Amino acid sequence: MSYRLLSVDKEELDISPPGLKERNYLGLSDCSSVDSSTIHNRVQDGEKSNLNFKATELRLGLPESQSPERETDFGLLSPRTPDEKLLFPLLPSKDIAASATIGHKNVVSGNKRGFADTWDEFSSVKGSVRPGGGINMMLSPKIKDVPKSIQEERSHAKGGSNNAPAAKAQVVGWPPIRSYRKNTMASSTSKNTDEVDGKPGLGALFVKVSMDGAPYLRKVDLRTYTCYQQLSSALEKMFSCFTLGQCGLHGAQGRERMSETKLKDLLHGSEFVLTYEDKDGDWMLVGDVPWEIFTETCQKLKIMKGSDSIGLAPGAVEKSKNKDRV
Amino acid sequence: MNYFPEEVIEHVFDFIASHRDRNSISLVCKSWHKIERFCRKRVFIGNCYAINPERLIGRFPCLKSLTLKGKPHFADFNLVPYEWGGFVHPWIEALSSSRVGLEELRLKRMVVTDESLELLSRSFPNFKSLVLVSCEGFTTDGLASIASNCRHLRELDLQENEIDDHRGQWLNCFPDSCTTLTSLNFACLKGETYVAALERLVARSPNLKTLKLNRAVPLDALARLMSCAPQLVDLGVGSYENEPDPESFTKLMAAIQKCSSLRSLSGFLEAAPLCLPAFYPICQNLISLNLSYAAEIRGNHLIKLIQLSKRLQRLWILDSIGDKGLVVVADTCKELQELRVFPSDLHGEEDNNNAAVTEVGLVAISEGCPKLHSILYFCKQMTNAALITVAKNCPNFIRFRLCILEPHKPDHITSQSLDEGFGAIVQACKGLRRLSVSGLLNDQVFLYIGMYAEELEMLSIAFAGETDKGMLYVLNGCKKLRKLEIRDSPFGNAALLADVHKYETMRSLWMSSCEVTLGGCKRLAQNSPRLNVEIINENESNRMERNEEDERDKVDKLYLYRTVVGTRKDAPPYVRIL
Repeated sequence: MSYRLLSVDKEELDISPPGLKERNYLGLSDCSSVDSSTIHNRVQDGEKSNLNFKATELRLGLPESQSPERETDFGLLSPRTPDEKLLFPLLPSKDIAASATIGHKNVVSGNKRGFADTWDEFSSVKGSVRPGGGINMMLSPKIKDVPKSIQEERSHAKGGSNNAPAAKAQVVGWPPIRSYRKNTMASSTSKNTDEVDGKPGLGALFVKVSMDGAPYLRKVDLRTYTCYQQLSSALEKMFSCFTLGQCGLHGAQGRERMSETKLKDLLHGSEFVLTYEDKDGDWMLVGDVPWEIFTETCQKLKIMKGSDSIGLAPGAVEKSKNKDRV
Repeated sequence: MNYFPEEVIEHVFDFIASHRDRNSISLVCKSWHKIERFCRKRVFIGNCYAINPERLIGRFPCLKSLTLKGKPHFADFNLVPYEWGGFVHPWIEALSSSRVGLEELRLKRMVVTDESLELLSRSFPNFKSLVLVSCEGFTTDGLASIASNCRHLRELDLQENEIDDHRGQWLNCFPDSCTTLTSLNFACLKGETYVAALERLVARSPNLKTLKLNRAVPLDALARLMSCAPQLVDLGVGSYENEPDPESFTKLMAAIQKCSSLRSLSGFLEAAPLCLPAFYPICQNLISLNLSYAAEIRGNHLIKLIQLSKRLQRLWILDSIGDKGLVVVADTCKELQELRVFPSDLHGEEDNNNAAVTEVGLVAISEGCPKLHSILYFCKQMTNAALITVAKNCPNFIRFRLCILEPHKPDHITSQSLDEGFGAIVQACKGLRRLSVSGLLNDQVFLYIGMYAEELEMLSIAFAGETDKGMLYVLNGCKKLRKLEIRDSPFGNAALLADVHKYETMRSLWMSSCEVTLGGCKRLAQNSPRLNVEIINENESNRMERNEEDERDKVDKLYLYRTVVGTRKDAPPYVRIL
């Protein structure tokens, strides 16, 4: 099965209910990662070079079957800027298939996810099939149809930017509540909101993220994402400098598009894999389980070199992979 | 005084406890400076990068108690990246290799490692007290070292830290000979607690006054703990969940009734409201009640608790109490001095207004509680009229922090900005030391602040102001300003650079998502050797090559602080110190 690749424009999308304004909730910078991106979301006018929404828009058609052996014709995108390339090939997450049906459930306040098939301006990049049967798939559900009332209620950064991600359009660090309190309230209330359909736990869920070879840790709030793609994009942004160093790309290359060959080199040469430690202390590959379960069990995240995890079946990575833990 | 022998002067100085007074007397003359140095026992360092450990030890060799603060305040809200700094290890190392007989260490917003804790526990035989607030980087293994090695430990107070819980037996590490504990707070630990070890520990600690449990301690254990510690003054009950069987409940009630010294209560993370009546008998003695994590205590249960707690001086609750609940507080708690109302709905998703508090509740409190001097109030709406009334009713505010959840929200009745309301507050409250503003605000409010807030030391601004004038009013007017933190407000280089010397009279300035540019920051740093100007830009991908950088680029986050020891060496790559 292959995905149809249509060309670009948002205007061509036919899923556009009347009366609702389409918002672009894609783009790496749109992901409300804990630290940086939302600050840049303020820029409605500013055309900062890294806010290339179009460059990173990737649309997929709804999968026609739920077969786990879907093949795609593309792996990573070739974004305009190196920082936007997607470095964490995720396993075909049940997310995709599941999200078509549970799109309501794991998104706040009834936001719907629509998928659209567009492929924006890229040469088709051949994807690689990872060992172990995993499939490179970059998924980016386009989130539209945000009801107006939600938008009004969102706290916006100065200027009333509407670029907040659909699920949780919070300004970073607002309201000013200690993350400890947010986390604690989240775990208290999540027990009690199980029955309430579609309502996520309140508060935030901060987990540490480390990366092989990077001397510094970061933290992300898992509750600001609704799918693996958002998480992946946000992490990429945070850690891109380390990857750049490794791949020898210079900042000067900046906004140039990467050629197909370079991209492939990147893919095979320094592939990174996202793993997490679950409640039992085991390290697993990210992307296996549905997003909600992932957020409940994930204690820590770690970005490992793909070469470290070759030969491992998805879902089970030995603890020895921790040896270089930062 | 100079005609007295040194010992006498020293003895007099011993009565002077406040840090500021101590600092003042050390400036009187050389001989006082010298005397003061050698008899100073407690030192407070508000910014760990303002000074270094070597100089601290050099000046105060007889130091016994050290308080250190690391990250800027906005780090609490995740605006400062994880490894920005604030590492305590160099301090512990330096103290350890010196002759300082450290007995107490209090840290806030610092990065603490197990290694640091281990070193601490082994280096100071008389170590008595460890207080960690909002710190991170360590695990229960570090706590185990403290427990094992600090023979005279009295206080282990862990407040709201992020601790990796390895589910080990750290409580078991307290030796049997350890009987000196007066305060044990591990409420922030997320893992299982070895209850048997805890019970034994409490049983052999006759001086234990403060005990704050984490959520893993079950109700029946609580009853046993309280029966062996009837002398408790401050209790955090942990989760307090499960409907107990009648027998456990009876035991709990009996245990509680014996705790006649209990004055402060907290916890209740998953409270079973039916168990609350066990506490009714002691409510009348309570002066402090923290229910801000008790999402389950609502409605009548909550009201009943409050109605019985007539002597409350400090109350922390969730906004689920509602305006009606606050009216009850106002009617009952006439001794109230400090109130904090936290939001229970953190993302503004719920539309129902029943759960929230409004200006009505705030006004009621101001009318009913004449002794109120500190307030932190999260709400969804506010009016100028209410603030003006509050100002009239409560001119004694020292701390006034109002957070309207939606940025830029105006007076919900008149749709005007809230400048007049906050203006009334600063005008009436002559002793105001700390202020946080929110809602729709123009420059006018800052004019008022500059004019009237003479005692103001800390000001937090978010999503407010119109032009540089706003910030200028504050910098020019507030002579005692020590900490200024600003986010998402349109203040730029003109305000930043107007009076560079001002910053040396302050501890720190934080500006994020404002209009200051790289060029402005560079100019600021150029002429200020005694200021560290840090630019935090975590998004590596934004960072261009040095020779490509544009001075007109706006700076993400600016943090500057005065220091006598120059630039620090431990900053991560995304922090650029100009």
